Amino acid sequence: MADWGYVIAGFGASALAIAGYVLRTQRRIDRLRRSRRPGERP
Amino acid sequence: MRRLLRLYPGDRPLLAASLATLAAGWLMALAWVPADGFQGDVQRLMYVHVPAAWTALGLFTVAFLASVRVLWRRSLSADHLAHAAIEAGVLFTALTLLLGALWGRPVWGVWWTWDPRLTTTAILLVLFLGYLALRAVFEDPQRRATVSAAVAVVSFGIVPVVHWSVVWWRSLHQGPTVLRLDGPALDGTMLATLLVNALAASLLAAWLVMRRVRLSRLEMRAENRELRGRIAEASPLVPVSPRELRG
Repeated sequence: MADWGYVIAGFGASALAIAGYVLRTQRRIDRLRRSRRPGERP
Repeated sequence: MRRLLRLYPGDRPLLAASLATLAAGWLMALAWVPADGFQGDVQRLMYVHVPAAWTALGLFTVAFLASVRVLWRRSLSADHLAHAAIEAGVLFTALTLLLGALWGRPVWGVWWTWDPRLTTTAILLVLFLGYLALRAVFEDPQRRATVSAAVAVVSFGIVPVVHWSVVWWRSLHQGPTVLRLDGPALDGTMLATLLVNALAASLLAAWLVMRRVRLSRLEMRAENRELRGRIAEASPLVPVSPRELRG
């Protein structure tokens, strides 16, 4: 049973790390897109 | 979630493929493949640990090739690709070390040991974290690209050392199991699960790199916009190019 604790921690940490990275990148993309001037190429 | 799904059309098929493969791979790893006879269920961590390590080394190889192109052609697009691949590579390397620690504690009895494979992987992580830190120092994109590319090319020297470390210095970390001259030393179901997860990690990494490249392009446009603003403020009547102002 203790083995499953390590397994869940490992899979969970991987999912969280990747989701966190995706969200951080997305937030930065959104911020830069918002700061674009009207009419500027997307 | 809606914000996450606000994607460019080109991103969607790759994201869908990577999520579908990842779901299948994790389902196979957690529910389908049998537990290892010696290590028990904790060995299931291999299906994330090994793909993360392979993907990280693949990403650093992409970054190396892109960096050679930066040095050869002074290409800013190649610089964006190298930066994106290294950022994702650092993420996958950190995950490799974390998953290795979680696997090592019940099997080896320690979270960390100065085994050659572990030590060289830690050096790899520190080198490429240094690359990311260095990029923040330079304001001029061309100079940033050239210096970063040189650092990436030199740092790439550690990648083959990481790969061969288990062959050159035999110690606690197990040797190659899949990439062997005499074929994989893994049961068929285990090998299939590992390969599906490796494919999932590769597709996901490709999607992360695409997103990061897009962000770099937006950052470059914002930098150019800011420079143009500064030029206009400094000398509204004299036309000056951004390159001259940086110089």
